[in-house]
Amino acid sequence: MIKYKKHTLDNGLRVIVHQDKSTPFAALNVLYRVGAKDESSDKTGFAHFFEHLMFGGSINISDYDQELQNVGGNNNAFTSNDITNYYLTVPAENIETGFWLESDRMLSLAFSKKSFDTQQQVVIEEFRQNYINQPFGDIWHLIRQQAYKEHPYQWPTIGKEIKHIEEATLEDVKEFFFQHYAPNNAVLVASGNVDFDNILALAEKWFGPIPRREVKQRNYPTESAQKEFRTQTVHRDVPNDMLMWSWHMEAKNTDNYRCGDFTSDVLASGNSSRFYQKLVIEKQLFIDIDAFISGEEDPGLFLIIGKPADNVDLQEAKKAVFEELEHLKNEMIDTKELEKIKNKFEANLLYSESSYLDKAMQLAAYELAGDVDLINTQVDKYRAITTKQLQEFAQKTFVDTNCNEIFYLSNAKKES
Amino acid sequence: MSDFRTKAPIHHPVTHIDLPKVDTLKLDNGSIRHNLRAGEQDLVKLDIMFHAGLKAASKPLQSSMTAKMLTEGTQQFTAQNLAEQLDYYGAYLHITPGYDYSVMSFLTLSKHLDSMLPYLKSVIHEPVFPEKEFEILKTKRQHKFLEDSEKVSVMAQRRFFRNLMGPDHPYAPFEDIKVYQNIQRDDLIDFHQTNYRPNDLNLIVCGQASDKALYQIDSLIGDSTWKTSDTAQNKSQAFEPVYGTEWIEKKGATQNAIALGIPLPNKINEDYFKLRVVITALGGYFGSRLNMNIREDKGYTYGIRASYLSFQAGGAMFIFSEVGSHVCQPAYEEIQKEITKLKEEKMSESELHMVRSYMMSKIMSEVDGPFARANTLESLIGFDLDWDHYKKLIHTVQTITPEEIQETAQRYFDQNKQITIIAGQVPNI
Repeated sequence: MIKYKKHTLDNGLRVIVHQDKSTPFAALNVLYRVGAKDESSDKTGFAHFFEHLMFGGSINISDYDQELQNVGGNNNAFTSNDITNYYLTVPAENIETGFWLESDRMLSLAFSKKSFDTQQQVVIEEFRQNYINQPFGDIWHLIRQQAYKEHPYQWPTIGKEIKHIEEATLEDVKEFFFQHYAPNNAVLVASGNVDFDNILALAEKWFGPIPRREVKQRNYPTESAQKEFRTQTVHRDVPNDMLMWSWHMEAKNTDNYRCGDFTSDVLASGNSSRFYQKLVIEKQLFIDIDAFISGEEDPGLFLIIGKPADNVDLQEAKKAVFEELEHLKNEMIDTKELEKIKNKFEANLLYSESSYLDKAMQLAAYELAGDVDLINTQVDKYRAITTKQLQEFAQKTFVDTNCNEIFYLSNAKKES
Repeated sequence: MSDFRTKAPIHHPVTHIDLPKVDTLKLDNGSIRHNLRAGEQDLVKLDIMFHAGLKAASKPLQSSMTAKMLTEGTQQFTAQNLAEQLDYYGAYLHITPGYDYSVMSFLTLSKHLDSMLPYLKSVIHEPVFPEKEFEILKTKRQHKFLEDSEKVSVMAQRRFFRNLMGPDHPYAPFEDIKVYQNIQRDDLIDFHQTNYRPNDLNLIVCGQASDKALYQIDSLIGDSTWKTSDTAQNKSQAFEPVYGTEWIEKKGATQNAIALGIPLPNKINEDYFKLRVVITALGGYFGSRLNMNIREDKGYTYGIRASYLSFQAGGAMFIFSEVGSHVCQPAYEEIQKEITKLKEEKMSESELHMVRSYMMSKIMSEVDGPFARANTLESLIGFDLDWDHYKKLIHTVQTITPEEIQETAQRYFDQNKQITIIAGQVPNI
């Protein structure tokens, strides 16, 4: 049970406080409701590029990082297809510096040309480092492009191509800021060694005067139901082959989503999982095989990614994977197997609860998703999942007309 | 209205850091148990520090594959049995092979400790290293090795560590996949018998362990019938560095990886504390000189860091970055300029203030929460050190002067004794 208090400022900023007196630190997390899905298809990667520019100086403060480091603070940020999240930790007695810095960049950026030019290069290097100059670096570009034909989840947050980053202008940056960065489009969470009243006073002082802004309404297409089996083969300079499948499933905070989460655990969580025991150890068809959900706000994907063993017939490897999915459709899983998944789920939750920063991020995420109290009620919702629901999930999800397949093959293997 | 925003709020420097209390107890067979009671969650974590790292191995892969195979089946439990039980109770058992130690980490909810200890005991005492699982692991590792060999980051780092330590040093990574042909199941059995013993064994308990739980843990690890081994090899071999610059070509690379370093003493040396400040200022945090210059000013990279590596056999300053292939040369030159600048110019008070604030807060975070405390304690025990070492570090961070920083850089950063590896596109000269 995670205790918190919540208050909304007049300008629409939601403030949540979680106290944890066991740490000498405090965390401040600012979550904005803007992500890669708010980009247009010819200017992708912009939300993430913009995240870098949030550190390039704000209206009254020239160097965010320097000011924070001066008081012993640490910070970072990440962008997903749904959201952009900024967080900092600081010795608790210096929490006001966090308010000063975060409120100033919510008020307005400095829009410095120097920072724009440099971060453009930094983001291009990030693109190269993680998506080009890496074996299998482009799999997310391929998976998303294949699975989504309408919804903006069809590109990853880094963007479709480097060209889009190169073509961005400082004008785009200004427009984006005032369309999306606003108190009424954000959630602020303070956690750690803090007091509710003090945090509220600081929030009023620093964020209260920032005017409410007219936020651009989210406007993107929903993905129509897939109607055909899609398959694609690519060849790359990688040492091994990789097989990937994805199926559409429902949005976050639905029972369907929770069933997807548990089903991926049944198949691939830990060495006792079905895939590991059957496909890796017993049949030795795969070196490694994983199942997971994409975990996004809108309807996302259930994914399986496996590296087949050497000299294995790929069709045979595929058949074995699909046999496991058929088992899920035809037979209810053992209650003890489900019990195992639930126990592990709860234990992991408890292990991760020791971090005040994690809690700040989760509180913000649940609030933005519509209900901060989900942080406490979701355990019961997961607990209530039945073996019958898991079977129904498999029957509904794992059908050919909902399936996307990619054979990512090694050039070296083809030649040998 | 915006006037009040131009001035930073009052800064309260961290002047005092509470170091955690540890209850230390010598067990019947000479093993030492350190108990860190911390955190509010009902969990217990054990870290058992076996002298079973690379240092103790007679050939490559012996230490790392033994560590992985320990949980692949015992006399009492098959690999599947073990996995089922651990997963069912939401417990984790991992052995992390390191340079000097291999650490067996066991994490469980307090309420399940009782039922889980027999599995831990069996893994320590009677692993069977089944042939089938051994072959599967070997194949898996070779796949991973080949994949890693495509990465400029791995290519540069492997060669860097070979050149820092000397190619025949037991710590040195290998670059040839053929090494996998020379490792046999018997090598693992031998290694386990010799090195997973209570020789100078340290055990760290953290979280919420009841008196009863501690008694059970002590009986398991401190068992006087569990004998030490007299054939264990526990000597450190000195590094034999190969200085100079080497290129490794990867055609078509869009980024080059630069791995660069200078050998240094390890953390037992009295100059360790000052060196840690110097290396932090150079590249140990976001506001460091390397990052501010090469990323934040020039945009040559997504990230660059300098760190202080410390092993029982020696230490090093280590700089690593992946930079655009087209800017590799200027990036390399800027790295050299920053090292030279530390030697030639005194650091400003304002920069030193920032380094101090960053480091005090970093130290505070290293002892915040049960898992962080256990990791930090482990890093001390590995060098026969205790919290006094942290007190000295805190003292140095608070009192070091710009003169001392410059003098330390001059004394240790001999740019004629650099080891540099660049992997990626080799320029046409």
